[in-house]
Amino acid sequence: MSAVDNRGGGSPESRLLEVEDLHVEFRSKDGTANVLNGVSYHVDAGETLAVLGESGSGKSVTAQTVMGILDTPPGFVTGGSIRYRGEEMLTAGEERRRELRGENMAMIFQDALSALNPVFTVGFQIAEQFRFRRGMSRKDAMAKAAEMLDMVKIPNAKQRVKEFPHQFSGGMRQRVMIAMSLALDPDLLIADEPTTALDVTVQAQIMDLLDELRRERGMGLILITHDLGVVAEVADRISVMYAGRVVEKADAHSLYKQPGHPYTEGLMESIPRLDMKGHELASIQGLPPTLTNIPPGCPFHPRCHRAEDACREKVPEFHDLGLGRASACHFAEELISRD
Amino acid sequence: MTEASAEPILQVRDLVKHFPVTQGVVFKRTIGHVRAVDGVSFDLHKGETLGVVGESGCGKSTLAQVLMRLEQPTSGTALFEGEDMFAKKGADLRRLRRDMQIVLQDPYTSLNPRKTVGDIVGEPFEIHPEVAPKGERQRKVQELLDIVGLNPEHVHRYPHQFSGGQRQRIGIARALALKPKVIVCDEPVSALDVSIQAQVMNLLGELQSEFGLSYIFIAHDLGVVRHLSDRVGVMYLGKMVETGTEDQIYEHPQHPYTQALLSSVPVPDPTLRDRREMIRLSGDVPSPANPPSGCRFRTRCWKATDLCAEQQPALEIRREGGQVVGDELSTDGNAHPSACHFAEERPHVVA
Amino acid sequence: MTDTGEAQRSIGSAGAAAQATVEAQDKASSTKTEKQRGLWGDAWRDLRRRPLFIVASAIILFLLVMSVFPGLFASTDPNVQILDKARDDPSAEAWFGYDHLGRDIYARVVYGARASIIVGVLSTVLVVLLGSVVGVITGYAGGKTDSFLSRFAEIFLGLPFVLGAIVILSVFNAGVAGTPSSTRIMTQVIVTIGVLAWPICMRIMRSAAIAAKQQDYVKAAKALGASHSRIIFKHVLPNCLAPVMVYATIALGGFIGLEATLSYLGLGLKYPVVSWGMMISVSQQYIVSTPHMLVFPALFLIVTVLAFVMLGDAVRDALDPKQK
Repeated sequence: MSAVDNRGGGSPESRLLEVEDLHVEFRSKDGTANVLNGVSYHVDAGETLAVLGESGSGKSVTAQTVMGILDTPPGFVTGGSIRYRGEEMLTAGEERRRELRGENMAMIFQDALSALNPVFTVGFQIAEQFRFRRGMSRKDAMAKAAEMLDMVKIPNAKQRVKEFPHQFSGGMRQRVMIAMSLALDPDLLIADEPTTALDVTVQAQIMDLLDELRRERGMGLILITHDLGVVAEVADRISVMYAGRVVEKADAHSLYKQPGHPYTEGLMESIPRLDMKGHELASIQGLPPTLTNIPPGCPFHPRCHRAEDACREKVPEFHDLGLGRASACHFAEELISRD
Repeated sequence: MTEASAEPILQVRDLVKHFPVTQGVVFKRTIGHVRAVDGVSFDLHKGETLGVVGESGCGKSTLAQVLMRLEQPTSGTALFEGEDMFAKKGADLRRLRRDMQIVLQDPYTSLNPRKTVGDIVGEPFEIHPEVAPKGERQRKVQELLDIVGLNPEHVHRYPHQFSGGQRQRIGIARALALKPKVIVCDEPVSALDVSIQAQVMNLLGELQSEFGLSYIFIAHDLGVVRHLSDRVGVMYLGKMVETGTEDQIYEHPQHPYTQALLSSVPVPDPTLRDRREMIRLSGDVPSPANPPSGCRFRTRCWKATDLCAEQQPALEIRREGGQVVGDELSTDGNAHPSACHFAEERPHVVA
Repeated sequence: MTDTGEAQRSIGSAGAAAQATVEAQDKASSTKTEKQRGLWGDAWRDLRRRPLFIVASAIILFLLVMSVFPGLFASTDPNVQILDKARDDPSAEAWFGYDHLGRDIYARVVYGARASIIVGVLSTVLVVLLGSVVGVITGYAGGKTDSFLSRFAEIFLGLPFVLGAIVILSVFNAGVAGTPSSTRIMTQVIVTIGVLAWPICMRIMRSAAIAAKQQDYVKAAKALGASHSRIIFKHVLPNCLAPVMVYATIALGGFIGLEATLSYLGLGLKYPVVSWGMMISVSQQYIVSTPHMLVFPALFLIVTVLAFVMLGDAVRDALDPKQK
């Protein structure tokens, strides 16, 4: 896989995180599912990488593997490399990885309610990190926790540290999660569908907050989502995933202007736009493949209206389209040069 | 759109549903009410889609339950083809069930996992045996599966053998079985992936024109609602705050909440980034157990004044600035009802 | 986060390829039998192919035959005492040896099967029936019915089992002169267990029914105009069976043991009836000197319980379409 991507400047060494040709399979008594089949992406300090994909595309599994929190079994890493600031993660010991989690990389989840422990106050849960990893006293840690809540713009932070997760609304809970994940000042934040469970008006607030925090702290942000609208508003670069592969990578502007992969194109035409009254939506026919039985050739070919014999036989290589764009489609150049 | 043609198929007036909040285990005490739906009125015409849009807790799903008579209304009336829906009992109610059906949100819990697809889609015929004689049922079920785009030979399969989108099609087939006139769609596509969502929406559109169905389409996704709806009602904390045609709501919104809602929806076009005029609401939706006095939106509204706390704005056609005008004066094509003392059109919020 | 689940789900549905071939065969057969198959039909077809089910059924069948016709398996009278041979080790003549009164243990184990299995199976059936009916009613109806019946059940739950059994059995037998017949005692023991143990089953059923009635498919059935009985029998019950089945198979072994406790206290079965429970409880005093007095009846008890647990597991899996 000749992943070419020079946008985002820096040399490979200066990269915050680089995932290369990552392979993960899920084994169960019913068989082996090839969940990741060579995923490569990278993120630099201060930028937002959006990982776009539907359920089963492997976007969350990639993130969990990066964080080292993939459940094994059923998940097994069978190949590839994950480098954080040049340091290989897959061969690093569990001790080292635990050290990096929280301190250097952190993750927030879709379901903030189940990610918080219901029997402790939110202040206690945030303060815990300061106490055990920074050796602060209980009182100092609590004060620091209130500061964190204030940072994520929760009103009355000083009072609210003493409250329990269920006393917070959905949006406020997600803010608590963000405060908790940023407590130890990581430089890489992975947000896995952070706003999917929230209402649009609240979603907008949370996305604004994440964007602001990224800018202030110069963090690298990996935003995992299925929402093309959210991506368009905040992403610098985008990796589109399908059936455990990255099928297209590009900067946000050029991707939306002219998708370089039929899947991306199909996705864009599938969304009912707010500014257009609809007619028939151009949906993608069929279903994503089951991961135990990925079709030969291009995994998208059974659903692709351009598919030809070549697509059924040969897995498409990444076609470098210049300016850091690349697409895993035999017809990438053609697609991109259309008007 | 069959605007104002004949009598509406469904007329809902001042519909109210309050859920008591109780305390205690043995001796239950009512300590308050959740005002899930608090005075909602609308008409639904034949062959038309009425979109109901709002955030979680606005009461849109309760509205669906009450209309389907899964919950008893606290007060209010609804006429289905001119007859009082809520007074129906026994045989009349059974008849009504044939005319009104529902498609539910979650394709994973809306199908009984221990029944085959044939049983699930055939259940309406077992409950209403007069619709199809026994010998014909298998054929009818297969016909229905074919209509919704599934393989008719899959009648012996179980729900877990299907993907989310296919399950939603099974749910639609079940709702279609009795040839209803009205289908209430309660968030039918919100649990589906984007590419699958489009397929199901297209299917709903095709079925509507093929069978002359009327839809009440409930969703939180404004894009989805616009795509399918002829008219749209925006709900906030149990009340309709603005109603109008799809064009009136999306291109000429008057209520601040509608404007904020539209502005919050991310637009899949990076070139508009930072160029759109954004309205960012602060805070979350208040609890429907204890809604604000007067206008319910006032706690999050940038226009709110003392008047808003004191007086509840009615859903009526208003002039710029919020003054109520009579129906006969509304010659303007964009005039539509909104419940705000300071209603004012704010064009081009949609990008 | 959902991705992991999603991937696993797709493994589950991954039987897709296998499914397709099964499908092809199905079609061939279904053209012959145009009958609508349901959950139970599918479960039965599935069960017949499961080794676990076949083994468990074979063991249970064997035990049933043994309890109905013990004479086929043992020619010795289980109550004949040959004091000379008391506590003799197993030999070619007496495979399982002799007990402290010189009775042939093999014969006693064979004859003991009847009482033990009857008490175990019938009390389980009684408990499950009583518990399920009340459980489904309380779970489905909710409200005042639920509050009332749940409180009522808690009265029984609060009663210590042995104390409760002593009270009930003494009341039953208060006016009886001499030794009551063995059928009568057995019935009393079964009823006692049933009365004291049903609330546990009821609680399991109730929570399962509450979970099931909140599912959207129940809502859809109501919207179609389905009656309460239809919803209970077609939608709620089939989705509540699994936890009750697990409880029932585990409880069965426990009930056989309970019978022993009651016999030991002089409240349960008495001479000349033989049961495994009685044999096990008597063996306590000889456990060091004569271990075979404990080993053999215990072995039979364990195999019986295991067979029912296996049967329960197989039936539960067969009733869950996702396990196929």
